[in-house]
Amino acid sequence: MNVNILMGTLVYGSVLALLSLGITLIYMTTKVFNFAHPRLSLFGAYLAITAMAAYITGKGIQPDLTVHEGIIPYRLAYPASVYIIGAVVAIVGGIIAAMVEYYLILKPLLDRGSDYLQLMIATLAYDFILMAVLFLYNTHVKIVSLLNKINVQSTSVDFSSYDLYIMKGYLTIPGDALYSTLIVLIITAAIYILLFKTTLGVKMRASIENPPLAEVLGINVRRIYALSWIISGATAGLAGFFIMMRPSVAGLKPISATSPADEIVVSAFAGSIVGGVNSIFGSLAGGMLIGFIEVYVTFFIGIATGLGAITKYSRVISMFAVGLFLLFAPQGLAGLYKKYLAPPPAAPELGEEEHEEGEG
Amino acid sequence: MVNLAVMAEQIISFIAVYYILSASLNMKAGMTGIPDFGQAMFFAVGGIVVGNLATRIAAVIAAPELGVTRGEAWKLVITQNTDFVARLNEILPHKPGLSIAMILFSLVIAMILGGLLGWLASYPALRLRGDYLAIMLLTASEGLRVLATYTVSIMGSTPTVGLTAPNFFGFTGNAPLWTSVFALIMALLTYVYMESFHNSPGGRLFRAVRDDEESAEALGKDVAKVRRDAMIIGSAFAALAGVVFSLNPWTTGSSIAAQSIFDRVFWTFWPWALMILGGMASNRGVGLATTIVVALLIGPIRLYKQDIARLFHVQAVGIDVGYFANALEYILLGVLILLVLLIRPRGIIPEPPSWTLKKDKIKEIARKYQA
Repeated sequence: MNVNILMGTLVYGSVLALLSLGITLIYMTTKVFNFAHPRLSLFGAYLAITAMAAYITGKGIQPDLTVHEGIIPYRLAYPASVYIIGAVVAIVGGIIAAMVEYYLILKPLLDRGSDYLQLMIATLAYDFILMAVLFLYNTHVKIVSLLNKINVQSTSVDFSSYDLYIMKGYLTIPGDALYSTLIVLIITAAIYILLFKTTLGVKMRASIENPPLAEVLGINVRRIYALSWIISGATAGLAGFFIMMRPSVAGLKPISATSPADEIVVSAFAGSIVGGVNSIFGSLAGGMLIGFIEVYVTFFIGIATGLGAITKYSRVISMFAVGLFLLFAPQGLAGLYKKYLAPPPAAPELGEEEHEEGEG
Repeated sequence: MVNLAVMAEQIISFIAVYYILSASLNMKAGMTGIPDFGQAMFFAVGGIVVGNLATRIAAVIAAPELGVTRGEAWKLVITQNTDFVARLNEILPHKPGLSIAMILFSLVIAMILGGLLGWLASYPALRLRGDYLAIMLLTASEGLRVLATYTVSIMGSTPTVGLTAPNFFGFTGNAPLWTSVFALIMALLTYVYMESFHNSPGGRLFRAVRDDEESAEALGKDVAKVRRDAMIIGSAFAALAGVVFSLNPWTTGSSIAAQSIFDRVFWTFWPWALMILGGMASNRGVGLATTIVVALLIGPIRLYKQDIARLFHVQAVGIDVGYFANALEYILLGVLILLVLLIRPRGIIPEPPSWTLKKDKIKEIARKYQA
């Protein structure tokens, strides 16, 4: 078992799961595929790098590379506060970008009764504007020099100071894999609690399943939609924060205005669609699955067949996954789960309604 | 110093390419209601036919003069692309017959292959609707881009450089002029075809299917066949645009790379923007919007972006000219789309009614009924 590849897969899968979650959430509420979604995470990542670098230089923190022994021995390069600040700023950045998109672009169009095509194209337009903003920002604040400030060895931030040593010298779980996986699990649990254990969750599910009825019952549907945009932006920002940690996985290029958003967009949508576009938990599973197949499975196919070059084609798998699922299982993993695995008297849950556009 | 003649030739070529591409998209999305976000893959078919297939065949035919066997020539086009095609390009100007044959060959084969790919893409287009279909076609286009980029026998060994463009217009003596004339002729032919198709029974049937599938079906029309036909014909025209683009060494920058011909911003989203700006299903609107936007924005930016960026004196505020030039096109594209959607969602010339008779005749009939 190649631990390194597996750990990379975990990071990539978590990033895809977070992105797919955001895409699915927006599709369920606003009924639009948000093409700008991966760019929201880049926006978060840019702000996070800037904030981290400013914090380090402002406080004059020096990297400390000694290994500390303990119950869990660890290497502490920077105090945790640096990373916490990075993550928080990334989340805030994602939320800001998402809010701008919803209030300045999509809401006016929704009020005008634009159809799905116009909304979709509007998200594309926002994607371009955001990309241009990042281009301009990159010239003011050289991202590479910021990265060098944070991490002397490489052109990416890393979490290696938070590696988890299980039996020192035998198994090391890199910090980025550990924390990204943990975050996905925590978010899954949090969303479950939010949706099924709180009044707000009930309102949210009602607004998704039947917006007019929910409105009649006194729920402010637009506010619920705004909430879903906040969650979506926050998870996108987090995804961006983790992309910074390990850009080399899955052939992604180091962070810039265009990459990795342009490359990852297909995989993120594949995760959302494989999960079933109307299921939040499906999207988390779908993102993880696509990440696992793209990195881990192609790696082993490459070794087994001796064609190492096959890993370059990994994104074609996403394309086939999208095609197969849309054509033959439009409800995605969630639909398959419901059909074959779920206990028969299924309690009414999210994404229950038949999607009318699935089959023509 | 900007050479006005060169600028005019290049801009005309760009207008022609974008018009054919937008008109093809208009047939699929505007008239038939198929949200094709995979336009770049049909466009790329044209580029691959010119850069790969036609160049290979030209090399095979001219092999004796290049001093290699025919079998070797077929392979050398890919394995030693830069050197070998440069040698081929030196010979081509002296072979007008071969060049013209290859131009025609590219046109015909690219349209057939484009139509074939459109026929394949119509498989999901018959089964999916709306945004699902859009996502499907977008991912298909991206998937094919990855496939083509890393497959040496399609796009050569270095994806960023790609294949050297063949000089099929070298025999005319003034290649830039004649490529743009050729592009203009192709665009005019496309315009005439689209204009007549809009009013023909076929065009009206396409729009009937878009507006109300069930009633079209109830009247005995085969909806599946209509959607399939729209995909085939529309995609064939997109491949034609790819050929027109790739035959012009000035617009391609002398090389046909997977990065440039599969670019979804240039060949999928710009045509969408132009189509929405012109008015969906409005052929004249699309033509007008393409001409204005390409002549004033896309053409100058694509050709002289560094100079334009310098005009803004962005260095003064610490912004890099190269980055600003890149950002400029994206900002313009984004803002343009948003403005159209917010201010004039039906485009500058909204979809016209179809004039099945001459206008005077219709007025005459109307007068008769008013009396």
